[in-house]
Amino acid sequence: MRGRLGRGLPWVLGLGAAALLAVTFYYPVATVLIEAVSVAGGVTIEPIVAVLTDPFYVGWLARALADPVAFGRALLDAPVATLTGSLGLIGFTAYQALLSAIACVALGLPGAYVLARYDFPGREVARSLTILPFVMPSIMVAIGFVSMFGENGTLNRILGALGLGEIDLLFTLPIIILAHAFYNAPLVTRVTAAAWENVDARRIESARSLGASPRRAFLDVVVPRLLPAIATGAVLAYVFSFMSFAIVLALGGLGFATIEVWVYNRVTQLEYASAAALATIETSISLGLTYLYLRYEASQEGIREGGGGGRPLKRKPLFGSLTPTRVAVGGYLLVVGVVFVGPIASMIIASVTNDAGFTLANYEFLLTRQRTAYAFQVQPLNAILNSVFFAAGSLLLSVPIGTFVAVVSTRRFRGRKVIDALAMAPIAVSGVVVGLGLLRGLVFGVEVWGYRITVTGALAIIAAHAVAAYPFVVRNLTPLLGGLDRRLTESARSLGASPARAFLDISLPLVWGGVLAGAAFAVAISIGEFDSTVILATGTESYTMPVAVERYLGRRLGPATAMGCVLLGVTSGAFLVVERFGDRGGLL
Amino acid sequence: MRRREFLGGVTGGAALLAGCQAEPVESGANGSGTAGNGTGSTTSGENATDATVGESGGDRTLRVATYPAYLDAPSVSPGGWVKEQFESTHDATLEWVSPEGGINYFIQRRQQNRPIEADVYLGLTVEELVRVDRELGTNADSSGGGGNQGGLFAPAETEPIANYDAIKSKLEFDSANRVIPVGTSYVSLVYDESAIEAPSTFADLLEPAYEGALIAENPTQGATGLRFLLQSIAARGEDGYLNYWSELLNNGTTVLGSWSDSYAAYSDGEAPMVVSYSTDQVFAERAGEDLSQHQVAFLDDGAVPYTDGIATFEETDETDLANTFASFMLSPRVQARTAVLNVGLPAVTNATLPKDFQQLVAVPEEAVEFSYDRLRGNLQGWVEAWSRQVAGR
Amino acid sequence: MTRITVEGLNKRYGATRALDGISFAVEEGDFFTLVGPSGCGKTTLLRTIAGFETPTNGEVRFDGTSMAGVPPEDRGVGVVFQNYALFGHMSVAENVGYGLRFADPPGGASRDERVEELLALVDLAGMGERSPTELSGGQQQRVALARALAPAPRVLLLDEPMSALDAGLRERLRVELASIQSELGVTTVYVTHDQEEALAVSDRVAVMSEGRIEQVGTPRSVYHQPATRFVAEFVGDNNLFEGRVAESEGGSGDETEGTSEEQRERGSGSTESREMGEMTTATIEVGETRFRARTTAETVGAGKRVLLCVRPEDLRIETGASETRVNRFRAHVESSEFLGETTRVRLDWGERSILLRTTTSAVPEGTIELGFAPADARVIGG
Repeated sequence: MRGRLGRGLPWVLGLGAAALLAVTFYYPVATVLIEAVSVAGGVTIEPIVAVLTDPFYVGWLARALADPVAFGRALLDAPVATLTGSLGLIGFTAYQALLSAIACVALGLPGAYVLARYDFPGREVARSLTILPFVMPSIMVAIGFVSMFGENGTLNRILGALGLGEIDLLFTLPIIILAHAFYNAPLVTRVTAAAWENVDARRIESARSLGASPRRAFLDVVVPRLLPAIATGAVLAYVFSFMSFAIVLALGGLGFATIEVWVYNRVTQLEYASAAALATIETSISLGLTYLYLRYEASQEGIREGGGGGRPLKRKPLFGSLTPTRVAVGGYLLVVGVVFVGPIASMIIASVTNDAGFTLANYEFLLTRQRTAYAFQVQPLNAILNSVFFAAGSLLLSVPIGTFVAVVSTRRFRGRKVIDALAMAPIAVSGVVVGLGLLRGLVFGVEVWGYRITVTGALAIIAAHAVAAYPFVVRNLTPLLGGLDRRLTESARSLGASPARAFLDISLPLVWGGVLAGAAFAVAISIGEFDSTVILATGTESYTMPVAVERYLGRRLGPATAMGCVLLGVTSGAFLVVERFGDRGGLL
Repeated sequence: MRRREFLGGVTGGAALLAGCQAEPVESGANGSGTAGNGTGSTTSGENATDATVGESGGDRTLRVATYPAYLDAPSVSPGGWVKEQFESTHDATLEWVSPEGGINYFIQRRQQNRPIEADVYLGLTVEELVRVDRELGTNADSSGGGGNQGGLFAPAETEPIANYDAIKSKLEFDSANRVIPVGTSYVSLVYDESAIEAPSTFADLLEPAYEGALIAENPTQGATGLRFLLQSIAARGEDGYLNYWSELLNNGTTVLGSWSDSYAAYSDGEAPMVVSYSTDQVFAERAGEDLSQHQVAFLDDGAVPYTDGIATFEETDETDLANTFASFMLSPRVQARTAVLNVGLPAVTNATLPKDFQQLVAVPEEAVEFSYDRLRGNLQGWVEAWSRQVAGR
Repeated sequence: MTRITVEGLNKRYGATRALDGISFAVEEGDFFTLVGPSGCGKTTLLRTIAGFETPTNGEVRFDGTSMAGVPPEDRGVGVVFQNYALFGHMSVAENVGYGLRFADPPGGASRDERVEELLALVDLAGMGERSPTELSGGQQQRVALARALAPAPRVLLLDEPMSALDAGLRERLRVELASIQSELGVTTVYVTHDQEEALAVSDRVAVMSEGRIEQVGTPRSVYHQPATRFVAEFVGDNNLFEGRVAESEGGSGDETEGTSEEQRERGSGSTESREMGEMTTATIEVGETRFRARTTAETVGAGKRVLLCVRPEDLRIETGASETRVNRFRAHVESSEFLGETTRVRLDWGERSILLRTTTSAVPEGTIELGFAPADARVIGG
């Protein structure tokens, strides 16, 4: 019996995960999306058809459907203009998401290269902090971007000082794409850097010994192992940009409205049918893309094998003689300084300045608020403690669930990619719809056997955060688990370990890096989460830092930026702790 | 009352499980409506307040729902003062309820046949009332206490409400008296006089001088954006406003999301003019800012008022206390004080504002009115057509 | 000690038959080898015995007990994989001791003692604290073996454990492996694609092709009495002549020469090799040439198409004075390779390529006369 971990464990985890997802995600979301296909108890596709035939939403597609002949003629006359002239809301959303994903890869890949291949003081810290943009409430990103890229922003002041003229980025598509890159390029960086560090140096050496040039060896050995990670990052970046909402309105304006902006508008007007129809289409596109990606990821499993025991590539010192690569890296770091450090630094500066210059008034505001706030007002310290508590809770919940789902999705069975895609749904469903669903499903409650069950407060918030976070654990783990040599666990099995035991003893330590990466994302998602938190909160006692930022946002930005800086500080600390603690395997 | 004990046990026992409840489903949509329902999920956060103030607050509790900024704004917000004053002058406890989503939250509770768990809504605007009635199939005429199934607010008997007659007559927007106005202000342009001269008409905004000069807001995301849109409809007519906006956007006007988005961009100098409130200088003065950057302009000498009121939920058992609260809110002293705290104007004629405050609040010559009835039939269509035009560009 | 019985095993992946009606038995303590080209199903078969694969039908029995539904961890198997699958995050000692977490060390030894004992057995005493990644390939292989043996498994399963090693090390290790195996007496199933390795270490060998077992027997019987064309071609070098039985007669003629390897092998009896019927000498026509071969009666009904096999080392260079008078033919030397002990000569015999292995130090040239004893030829039914 010794060491025989209960065979029930997978079942307990599986049923637990399924129950959690059903209660805090699938059921609530279903209560909303069902309205896209039901009218007064009957089934209808009218709301969806209405969207799909409306030129406002689908652009030229509607024209093509309504009058194929005329459209065909127009297409022949002026193909480019006909197709790009009217994208429609959905087309534009997809278009800007595509540009954003490209920008994310362009800005994120060099970062992965620097982190994986160069050694420099503070590399580990830099890597930990790449996740910071992810936790920033969109309002803070907007503030940071305006003060960095605005007409009177830091960038223009620097350019002006250098005599380089001025750029006017605000209220344009490029700034939206840049903001999406700010959020999501670090994701590409993280995922790709992890894959890069897993490349076995021996493979490159054997390629070189077979006569491959360094470039050839890179293309033949390194690139195939990076592609799945890059694709992961790109797809996530695409999906997030596709679902973008607040940042679009704050930096671009209504002229750049996305589907999610419209879903939000519909929901605020309580027009559920059209909101649900739009959200259904939005979700179908995100999930469809996720599914295609997962198919691709599965097809790549064959080329990844022999995890564990590999020798990582040796890092080069970042500082040294000026080689063309080092110059290029320097150029990249300059871009990082502008795009990533700039907005954050600008926000920090904004928090300690006013018209008169340096001031600590905004931080004094936080202290005063802490001392004098009424019970129905948000207190900074409580918000910090809540954020940390919820983050820890959702970490503890999402890591086992995500790990379990990752294990299941690396098993071979029919339709597993469908299940896998469905498991990714929390990142592919409109946040507005999730919020509405949580309100209906959990706050208003469900009638079960004559009792109405409502779930709110800390537990519900942690559950909602965990549900939002676990897909990141899955995505970080699946490629690593898929790449693990099955013979490792089989060896353990043959030596007497149960499947669960073999997983804990062998697989888990070998994919620990992925677990940590997932855990960091779980913390980030939880700390940055706003919508479900305010909906499920039982009053101020469960408000978090982003809620405080939002509440402190008034006519003057100072108090909110100060709270935002506190958020960044606490979050940075949390990441350093998670990754340092985790590196020693201390989380097991 | 048993339920309250039950909840007390749960919340006291396991903090983590505080939000997990199972209660027998009550028969009928209106529920028992007892004060005990006040410990619902959205309000248990005020338990601490209950305990401390409850000692002097007597037995009765009034649950007042309102929007978050009324309770918690970084500068000042009236919530704390109103609670302290009401409790010290009346033998009752005031419990704030501030669910995310504001009035929509209660509309949805009603639609889902859930108990309302609040007695009064403070801060209801005309467009919100229109939405309530549209969603619940009610209107000013048919609405009556219990006569109409599924209504949200009951018409107030105005007799017991003190100082009711002093309400500025133009502010009343509900002929059924479901909403009693308690405050008002105006939506105007705020501009930087060092950068531009004040525009005086809608036509001015189309001039090259104002190219790229204005930031406006999404009408579905706040009172300012909506009111500016309404004023443009008043100026250019239902048939002309879309054309006007098309020209306005061609002249570089930007429409952002919320008022916060816009005001932040304005503060950072992205544009010299923003759609905001005519009380802007009050804030600027308090913050010690240069007033030249906080000049107020009214187009065509007019502005659409932003009036909000107090409404009593049909479901409440505390009608008397609700009326008492309305009387309290309308009293000249409270009107004057909440106007200052909320940075707005009183709803009554007999409230005296501090001189310096009065000087800083700009008031238009003409209030551009949109009646409940006109909005009821048109608002949704106007906003929809406008949104499609702006987003479809 | 455990006897493994495999009966009617089938494994299908969709339309492909990875295992197609496999039946055989491994006696207690035997060193049993599955050999065949890659893709023949030998690894699948090994994994099925280990319990990593579930057969579509048929079953595996250990000492008569069906293993159906028994998970790998309860089968008492020790497995060594081609890449060793060492746990990179554990030390050598932790690797070896891993299985002892789930079972008490045999003989009442403590876990540490058992680990030390195993490390000593594989000649790695004192290396316990090292990381597996610091070890050479051969050392890693021995750690994997020690790890598999530590819990004293009923069955040891080895999946191409030598294929990643260089030739010299391979030969040395396989001798060590065989000696450790016979010392411990653990029933062992060994998978390899290398027929030479299979012949060298095994008590018995199963030759597999396309999911089927072609032949099971001792290394000698498989070598000398290939049951099928596949075995004849796969195991060792061979000369195969397609021919036709001209006549078949009982008794022995004047052409019988001394004794051959094959006859000795027959004497020892090989029950699993094809059932030996009554021996006869047949005349096989290969093109214009007639050869005589000793074979079983039923293989060689007159007129049947058959395959005549002669091992390169059984071909002799006939000098004029040779006593052999039958089975002689002239072939032209194409090339030769000096292999040290022997020389391998490639010849051309009327469009047919012939291989000859000879110990003669003089390298033959030109056209020479070759011959073989009828008892050294093997006839396989067409």
